[in-house]
Amino acid sequence: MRAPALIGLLPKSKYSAVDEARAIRLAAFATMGCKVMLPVYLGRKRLGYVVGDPENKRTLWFAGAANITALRAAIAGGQYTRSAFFKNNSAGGPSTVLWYDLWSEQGDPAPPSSPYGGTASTARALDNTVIGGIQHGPDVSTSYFKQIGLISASVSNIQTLLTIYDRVLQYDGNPYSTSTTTMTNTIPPPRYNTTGDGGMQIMMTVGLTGTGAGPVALAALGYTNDQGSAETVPIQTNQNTVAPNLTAFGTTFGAEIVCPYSGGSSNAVGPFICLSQNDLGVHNVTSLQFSATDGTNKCTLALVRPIAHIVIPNSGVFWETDYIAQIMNFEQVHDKAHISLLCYPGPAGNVYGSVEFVWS
Amino acid sequence: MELTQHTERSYSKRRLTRLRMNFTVGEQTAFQMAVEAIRGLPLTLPLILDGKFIGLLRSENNSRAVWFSPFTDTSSIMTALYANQRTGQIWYKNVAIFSPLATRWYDLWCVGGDPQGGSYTGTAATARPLDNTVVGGLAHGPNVSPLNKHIISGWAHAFGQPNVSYVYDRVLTYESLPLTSTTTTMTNTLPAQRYNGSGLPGMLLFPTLQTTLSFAGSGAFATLTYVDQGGASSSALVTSANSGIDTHSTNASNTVPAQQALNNSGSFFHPFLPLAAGDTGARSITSFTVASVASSGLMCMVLMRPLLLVANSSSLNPSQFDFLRQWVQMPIVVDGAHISMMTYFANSSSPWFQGSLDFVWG
Repeated sequence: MRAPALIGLLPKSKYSAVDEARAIRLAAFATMGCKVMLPVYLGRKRLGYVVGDPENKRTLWFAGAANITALRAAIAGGQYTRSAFFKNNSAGGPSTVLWYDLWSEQGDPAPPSSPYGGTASTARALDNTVIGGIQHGPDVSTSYFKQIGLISASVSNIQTLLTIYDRVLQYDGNPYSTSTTTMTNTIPPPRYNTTGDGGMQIMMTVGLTGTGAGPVALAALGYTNDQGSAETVPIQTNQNTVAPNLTAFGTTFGAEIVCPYSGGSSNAVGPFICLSQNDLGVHNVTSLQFSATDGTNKCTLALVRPIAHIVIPNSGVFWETDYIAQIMNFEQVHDKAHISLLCYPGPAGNVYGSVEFVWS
Repeated sequence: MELTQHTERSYSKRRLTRLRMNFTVGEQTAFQMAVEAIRGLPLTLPLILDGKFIGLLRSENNSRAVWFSPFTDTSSIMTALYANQRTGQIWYKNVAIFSPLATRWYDLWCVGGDPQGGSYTGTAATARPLDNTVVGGLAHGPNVSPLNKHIISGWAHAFGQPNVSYVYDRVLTYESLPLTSTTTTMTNTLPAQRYNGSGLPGMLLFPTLQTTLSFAGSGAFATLTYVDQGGASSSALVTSANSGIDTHSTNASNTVPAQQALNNSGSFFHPFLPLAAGDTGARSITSFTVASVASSGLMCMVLMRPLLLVANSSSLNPSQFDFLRQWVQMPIVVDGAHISMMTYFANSSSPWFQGSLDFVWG
């Protein structure tokens, strides 16, 4: 006989805690040594997941909500945090047809005092202890899966798209050089560094200085993909131009994304560099080369993982996207994630909003 | 129950042990009986216990039984998402230096961006199957069979261009087709790798302009024969009203999409050749003739399967889509799918297209 369900509580399982523990132990044994994520069911009730971690000679256990009701119950139980953000574009609008990285823009969170001051062409890792990230609550991954629940946002002067991303790794001070710049990868990415995890995307922005008259184009970019293989980005005619005449990053409007660029008019057509056919993402960048020099200007490469998007179809009005009931995406927000924002088109006004992070 | 990873190992005692802990006693008994029932038979058997659908059991190669459970509810999709059986891909197609003809369908496959533009490298009038290893297709994650991969959400934007777009699987092409006075007979040494088999729907026929076509007068198809979804020879319903061939003055390239070839009496909204009554698609094209000879230019016949139809009614605002609850489609993306886009341009503005697609499998 099943125990009656109490109001406000999920029905009790007919299996005891000992049965559940035995099921979890058997599942852990099955996945031992295999990088496989296995859901554990007992009596049609999903208890959670086990996943093998052979590199560290362990098996991990974590739970996610069994259904929407359980997820809502987790939220009602306080397993969430809501963080507001504000990006102050008080100086007025930059080009409105470019993608902009708002990480270095003033506001809340405030940007680092020297956002692109890292050692030139050297990987540096970012986590939630580095200034500039939107806070997302405690570390929970040993027991829970953290995700975005709700996003609300407004941009004062223009309709736009905001992309929330995890900024994982950064290479500052890269010259526009016809010689190959070799990256120093002493520090591995702190997240998304497991084979087959989908990796990160490559975002190229202005850095300490902008770009000159140009034209400059990407000639070669080498990386390690998420399968651990060395690859190079495809060099496509008219698709790898670096946008000319861009301003160095500003605390009042962020950093313009310089490549890819259409080459025809002032527009950047996408936020990330196109990868080799079938590659989902990268684990690091290994080298960089351009078709021409561009004075003393420098660019920054950021390796990022997109997490969620919100469309804001009208300026000056708050819009919401529910990432549980409306868009079921469930991209994981990792412990130590350094959360920031991309904006397209570039924000002609201030950006306000909040993000709700939930874990279950 | 779901298995999070399909292995190539044959059905083994250890595998049974792994399954046993996740089944109830009743489900386990039903499962064992079903395995015995399909042994030696090329069958896919649904497993139903107490009126509840549990999953599917398929016998393969007479040597193993493969179990999988398609998504049955939102909770099963949540399970797959939490297990990271998902990927999200941002894409763009840069047509910014090209001015299209208004109210035409254009195939964006050859246009550069992310994914890269594809190239017409096939042998003339020879079936060229495409999969996700061929340059030009959008990455969508690993092969997942026997699990199903679905598109569940995304957003799209075309700056300055309200538009409607197909996201499609480019399965088979016949490239570099001259329009001559003689019958063009296709070489079909290589079959389509998807949607090609008993019970499968086949593909739609989408003729495109690969390079500039010039006619003395107006162009038109006269006949087109194909192998239908069931394997029978069939003929497209070619009439003077629906099978005109248009011309365009610009060659398809890295920055120029391929315009639709069909000119339906001055209307360009329908880009597909009409199939014979009762046919859902084609497995291959056998031959075709034209009513008017083209003095120059080449056509490309694309055999494709539409996955999504997305409308973007604003020229400035991106649109966000949910294919799980809002438009309950959850299109299935078959292993090896070569995903691309085609768009109906509303005006002659030079646009760039971008968006994202989220995939889940389970």
